[in-house]
Amino acid sequence: MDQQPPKWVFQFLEKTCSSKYLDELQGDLLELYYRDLGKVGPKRAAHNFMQRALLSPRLYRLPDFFHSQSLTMHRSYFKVAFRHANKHRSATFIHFFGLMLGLAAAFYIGLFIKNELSFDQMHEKRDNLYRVLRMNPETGVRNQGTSSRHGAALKEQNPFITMCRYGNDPVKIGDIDPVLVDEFYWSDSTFFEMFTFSFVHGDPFTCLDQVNSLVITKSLSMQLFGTDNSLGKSIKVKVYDGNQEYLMKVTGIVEDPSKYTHIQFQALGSMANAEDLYASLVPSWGFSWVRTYIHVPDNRIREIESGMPDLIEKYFGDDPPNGFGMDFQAFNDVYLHSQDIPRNTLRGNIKNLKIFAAIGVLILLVSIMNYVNLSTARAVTRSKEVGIRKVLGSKKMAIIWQFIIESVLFTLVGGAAAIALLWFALPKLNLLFDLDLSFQVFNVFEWVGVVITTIILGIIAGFLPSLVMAKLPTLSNNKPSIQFKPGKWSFTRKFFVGVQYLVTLVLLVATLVIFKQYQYLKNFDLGFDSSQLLHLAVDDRVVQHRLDLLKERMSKVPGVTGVSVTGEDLPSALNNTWGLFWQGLDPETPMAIDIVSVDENYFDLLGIEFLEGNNFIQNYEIDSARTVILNEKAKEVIGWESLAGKQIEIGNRQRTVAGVVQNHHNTTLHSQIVPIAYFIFPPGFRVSADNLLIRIETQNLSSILTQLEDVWKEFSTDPFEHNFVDEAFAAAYNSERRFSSLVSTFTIIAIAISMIGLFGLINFIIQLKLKEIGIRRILGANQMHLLGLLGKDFFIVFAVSALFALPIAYYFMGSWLDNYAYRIQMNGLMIFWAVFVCLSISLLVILFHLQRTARINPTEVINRE
Amino acid sequence: MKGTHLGEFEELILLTVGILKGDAYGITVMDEIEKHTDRRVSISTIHSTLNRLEKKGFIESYVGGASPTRGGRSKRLYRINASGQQALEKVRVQREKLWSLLPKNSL
Repeated sequence: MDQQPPKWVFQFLEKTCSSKYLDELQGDLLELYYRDLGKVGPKRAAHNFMQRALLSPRLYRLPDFFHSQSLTMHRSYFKVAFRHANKHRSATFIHFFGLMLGLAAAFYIGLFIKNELSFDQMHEKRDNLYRVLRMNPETGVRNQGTSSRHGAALKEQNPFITMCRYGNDPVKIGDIDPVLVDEFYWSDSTFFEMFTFSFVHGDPFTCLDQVNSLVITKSLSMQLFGTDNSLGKSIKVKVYDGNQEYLMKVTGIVEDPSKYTHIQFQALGSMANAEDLYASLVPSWGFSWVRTYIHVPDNRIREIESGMPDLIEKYFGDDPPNGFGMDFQAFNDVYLHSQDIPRNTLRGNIKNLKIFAAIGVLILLVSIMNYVNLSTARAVTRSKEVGIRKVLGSKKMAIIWQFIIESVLFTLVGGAAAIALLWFALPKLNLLFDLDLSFQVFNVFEWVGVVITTIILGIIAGFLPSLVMAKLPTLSNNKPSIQFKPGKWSFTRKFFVGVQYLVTLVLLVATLVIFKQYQYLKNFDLGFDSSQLLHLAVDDRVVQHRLDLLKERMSKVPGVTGVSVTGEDLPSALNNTWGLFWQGLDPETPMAIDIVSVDENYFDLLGIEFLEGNNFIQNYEIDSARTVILNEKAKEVIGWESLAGKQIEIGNRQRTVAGVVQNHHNTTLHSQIVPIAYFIFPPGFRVSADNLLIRIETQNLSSILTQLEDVWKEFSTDPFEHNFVDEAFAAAYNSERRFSSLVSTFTIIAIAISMIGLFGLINFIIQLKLKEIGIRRILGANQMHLLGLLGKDFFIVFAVSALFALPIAYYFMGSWLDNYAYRIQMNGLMIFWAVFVCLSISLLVILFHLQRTARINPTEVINRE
Repeated sequence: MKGTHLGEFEELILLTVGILKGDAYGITVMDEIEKHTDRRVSISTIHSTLNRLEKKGFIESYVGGASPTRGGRSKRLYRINASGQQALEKVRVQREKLWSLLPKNSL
């Protein structure tokens, strides 16, 4: 017997087998071991021994520890909890539904936030990437557009960085049937070094090195060539702005950019072409046509920032242009922190995100408080159980744990139900809010986090009720002692109801303010008549030269009441800014003015009135942009009493002011009205008219459109793409609309949860006061008296929470409204509505219960013991 | 308790305990099962089945027979009792009845 199996196996057996069966097990295993020893050798025998031992634990012979009283007791906890839930089914349902709703809402908000935060995350170098913004150091105004020289100078000054510029230029690609590609950019060859896109074909690092290189997305490749492998094929690329054509070679095909990045493109052309195309403009510091990004290794961004004065000195000497400066925005901030940047089209907004996070937390708070309130209220129905447990020797701690575990279980089931609910509701919610959320944004760790958070919430929610339960008296004669009233309308309970009211009121006010603001923006008087106004973009240079003829032909279509041409869409981006100077202006502080190309019909067509002076004299060939019409704002800036007939300098040329028109909104209401100069430009300039505005009658819309399209087809091979100006303005407020509908949905959920809580609580209080109500009714109390009896406390709590809620709401919504150039004033009416809605729902809930109580015969309840 | 139904494997073990007559403990039962039915069953499975049969009241156990090959640890020996015999008898009668009802040549 010198061979011995490993010692630890015996320890393992001692741990996992009760002493009653230990001899049998160890003995049998040893006997088998010695038998194996003779047959298969010591190694194999030891192996078999261990295997048998490790597989030996069986439920029936686990040591006493596992069979202790506590385990039996825990099992009984679940059993009793389940029976109790089952017995009070409707109360359990209310309890559960409120919790599930709250968790679902919070989870959805979590998904939304995670989704917003994951924007741009696919770019591997994002932590070291910066977007170069043109910034006026005095005013702090930032612009995304930079000149080619900004990036070049930065690279020259700081050789350790990688720099990439790309500039938009709509092109038509194709030999026979060209495709209009709006999202075409001329780009530096470093593009794919900086940004992460997955290549289908081609080499990311060299694809844009050569002149006439073209990188396209997979879907564009399919569209142009019918295959995703168009590598090496040549195709004609026709540029609008330069009226030039290149034969370019496809050197790369990439997967379409994800929706979740702000770097979007359909095709990229090599920067060498743009340098050829815009040879005269590219060297200018003032030609802000590219976006510039830099990759800065090792956190050396401070070095670049502190090197700015040197850079300015190097390129401008002692006389730098006014307002010259650069800002380096961290790539990770681009999506959420760009609201101040003009023409920012990203809809991420850190403020809105914070509001959402706050709403999520508030909803969780409301549902947890709800849970606590209802649980403690239901304590009375568990008092017998707790009493008996105590009689049987349960410790206080054990009872606390019992209810905490119960609460955790309840919360976990609620969480699972919430996720199941969202699983089904997600596609519909996405449609409703115009979002694209999915569960996939969470990785395994985050799911574990969700579970842990739920458990913690369960512990928090269960803590207070469990303390109340543990304080329940030991059962003496099967009847709770008189002093103990677990259902009493305690301070804690009032406090919780108060907080729920507070949250509800704040959210209601927020919903109303956001909705009103959206309505306000949508129905704002833009200063011109936007109804029945059709917009048509003319991108083709050739057609632009024949614009007058096209206008003429279109105005003859029956049902068309007016046609005008303009250089800007409505709402406009106001892309062209020139210097403004007038007699008396300090030459050190030049002003800027936005340039819009129009024709003599423009003001008449839009219904814009002249404040002074006259319209243009017809025929631009005589006029050739010598005369200008200014808007009211420009007059305000110049500050002269009268402008008509006076000379001012715009774009370094003297111009005669023909007239001044009243202010109107060319841009969306996110920005203020700016000074604008209207010119008539002949075709062929960058600022020349390239849009048609057509006013049509309401009748026979489709026939008018068909006829307009027929005219269009005579001039252009481009598709007849039109839109209505009023719709375009409304669409510009889509993100407000979405935000408003999101906030209102969650407010409704918060109200629902609060009211579910109120419903359960009032039900419970009525049960407690059933006898009192019965006696009062016999003594002649009517419904109003009873309403007073039940409602009085609620209304006091409501009044107190309203007192707190309204200033809070006023403060937060006031600061939210500050984001808008044009905003509503908060007024008493909104607050009145919030209070009214909240109060009337509460009243309804109470009345509903009273109605039910009224049906009970008082004699029945009075006798009840 | 799980009732007194006798499962197929339980029936085999119960029979084996009967066959071994006083020398039935984990290993002998396991060997016997393997010998007659070609079933390789782990020792712990045998143990838990024996335990189950005991709880159902078909067998009785007593401790004894320690030996050096067991490291001085005693065996738990099993013995079939009256209700165990009855249960086996009952199963057998049921089987025979069913066999007799089986039409000839139907298999």
